[in-house]
Amino acid sequence: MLAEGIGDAECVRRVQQGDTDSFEVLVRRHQKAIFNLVYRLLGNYDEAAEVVQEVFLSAFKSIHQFRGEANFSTWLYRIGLNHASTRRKNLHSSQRRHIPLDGTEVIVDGTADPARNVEHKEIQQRVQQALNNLDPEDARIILLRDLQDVPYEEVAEMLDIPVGTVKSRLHRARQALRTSLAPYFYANRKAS
Amino acid sequence: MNCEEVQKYLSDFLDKSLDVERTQEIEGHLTACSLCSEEVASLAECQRLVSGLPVVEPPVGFTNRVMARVRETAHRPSPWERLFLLLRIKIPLQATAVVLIAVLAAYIYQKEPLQRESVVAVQPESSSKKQEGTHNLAPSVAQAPTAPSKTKQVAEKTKARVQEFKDSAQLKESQSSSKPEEQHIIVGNQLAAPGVARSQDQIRSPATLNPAPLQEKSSATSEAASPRLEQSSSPAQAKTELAPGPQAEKEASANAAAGKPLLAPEARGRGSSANSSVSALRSGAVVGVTLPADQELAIRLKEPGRDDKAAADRLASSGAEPERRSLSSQEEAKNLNQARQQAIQTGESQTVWVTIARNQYELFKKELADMGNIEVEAFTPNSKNDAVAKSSDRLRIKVTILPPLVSGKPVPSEPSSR
Repeated sequence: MLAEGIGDAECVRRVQQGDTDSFEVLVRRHQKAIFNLVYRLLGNYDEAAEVVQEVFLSAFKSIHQFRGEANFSTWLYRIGLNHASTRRKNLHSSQRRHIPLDGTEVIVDGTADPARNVEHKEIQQRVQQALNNLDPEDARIILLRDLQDVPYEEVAEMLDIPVGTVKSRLHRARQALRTSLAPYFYANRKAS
Repeated sequence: MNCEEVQKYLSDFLDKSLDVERTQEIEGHLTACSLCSEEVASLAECQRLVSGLPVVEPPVGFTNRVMARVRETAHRPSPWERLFLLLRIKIPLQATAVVLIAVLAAYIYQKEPLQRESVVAVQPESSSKKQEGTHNLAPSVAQAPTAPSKTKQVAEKTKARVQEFKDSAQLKESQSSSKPEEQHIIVGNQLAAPGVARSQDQIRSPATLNPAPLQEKSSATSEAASPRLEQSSSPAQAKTELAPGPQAEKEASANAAAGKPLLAPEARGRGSSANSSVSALRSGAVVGVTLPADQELAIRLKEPGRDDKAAADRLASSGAEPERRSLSSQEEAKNLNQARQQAIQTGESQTVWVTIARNQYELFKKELADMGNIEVEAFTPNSKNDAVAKSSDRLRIKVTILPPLVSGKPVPSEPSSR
């Protein structure tokens, strides 16, 4: 019997006491956020699925080391970021710093207009390409803050850096992304 | 506020995390500076584009796949645990193997003395020699191979073992269907084959320990001996000739030096037991011992009166015999009575082997007590350890019938073993 209503801390305590089923609650609760973060970091759906599986497996194996000092989600994000960074490095080295765009993504909030849909998809692909080309540190901080809307304090905890550093790095990362998306902005300005 | 200061706070301005005063200052600068205004617009667009990225759903069945791997991990022991699990399985297996081997070795070791005796005792003989009777024992010993080869020993050991079990199973059958010419062997040993019985007789006969007196005796007694009974010398003679002592030991050593087969150490040890009567019996005073008996009994017959002797004679001539309910075989009952009569008539001890049901032992003793005094009653040490003998419901009993003490004639009485 899965207790969906109970908090992360209680689930973790149960898992630590040997109740494997309680871990399923944690998986269901956090898999989407972790999957999206990893997917945007890697830019590949299948790779992301594989990495996220490993993330949850690692979390389960080391759950006895989780003391409850931070949120479980923060702890899980940190594991996810580490796994994704490692895989991203491997992908970059094998693909000569070029991660191909993945066309398998599912658009949840699509509009009814097909032309608009194509345009949206193109923009999304450009942004993803820009993220793929960013420094991993910059990509991580932009995704955590702008995509996942994680508070500065938690981002600082996940990346194990001060909040001030988070802010400055975020500003630098946004500027890098803007530079990467400059052609898009130029074309947009020209069109308008 | 200049452009450089504004640049520092732009991210916070976009996140709306600045206080009201600083926010108003930046907004004032942005209205005046088109460069900074453009910068803010582009950064806000980037933020909007990233946050506008669609949410991606994990693959179908992702949770189940994750949980399957999690459960597999939960039930799979770690490498260390796997190592100790292997040890946990291995240790009992090894321990069990060691215990089994030890038990088997102990069992074989316990059986070994019997087998050693059998190996020493079993000698190949032609069928013609089997019919020669007991008076040719000494020559048979002389003809026995002095140093049998190992292969031969193994073959003989196997033969003796097979014969022993076969005879145990066919005990009753052999008792009822024995031919007259083989009866002396059956009387001598109910459980051994003729060849085996002969060979063991040779080993255990006085000739082995003291050959000279037996040769004299064998010629003297060959005529008197019944074909169904094996005679020994008189008790006094048996005692002086065969009682274990330094002379016997010396002769045994001499025989060993000459390469003659000797009794197994245990058999010799048994011969030097405290009880002299039993010693005399065991050391070969009584011819015909092959396999060890479960029980040994020596009975001193009552002194017969004239009437008794006449009655015994009448009994012998008429062939009528007193009823012996404890004995299952009529043949054995007949042998027992014959031995009694011969002991009375010849004044020499007689040995009879009988096999009775274990629960008939007390009744058998009672019947023997009617004939005389039971002077010796002893269990043989081998039979105590022999699991096969213990499990059997039959007892092999060696009965030595000692002649009655004639009044006025000094006959050394043997002390009771009990």
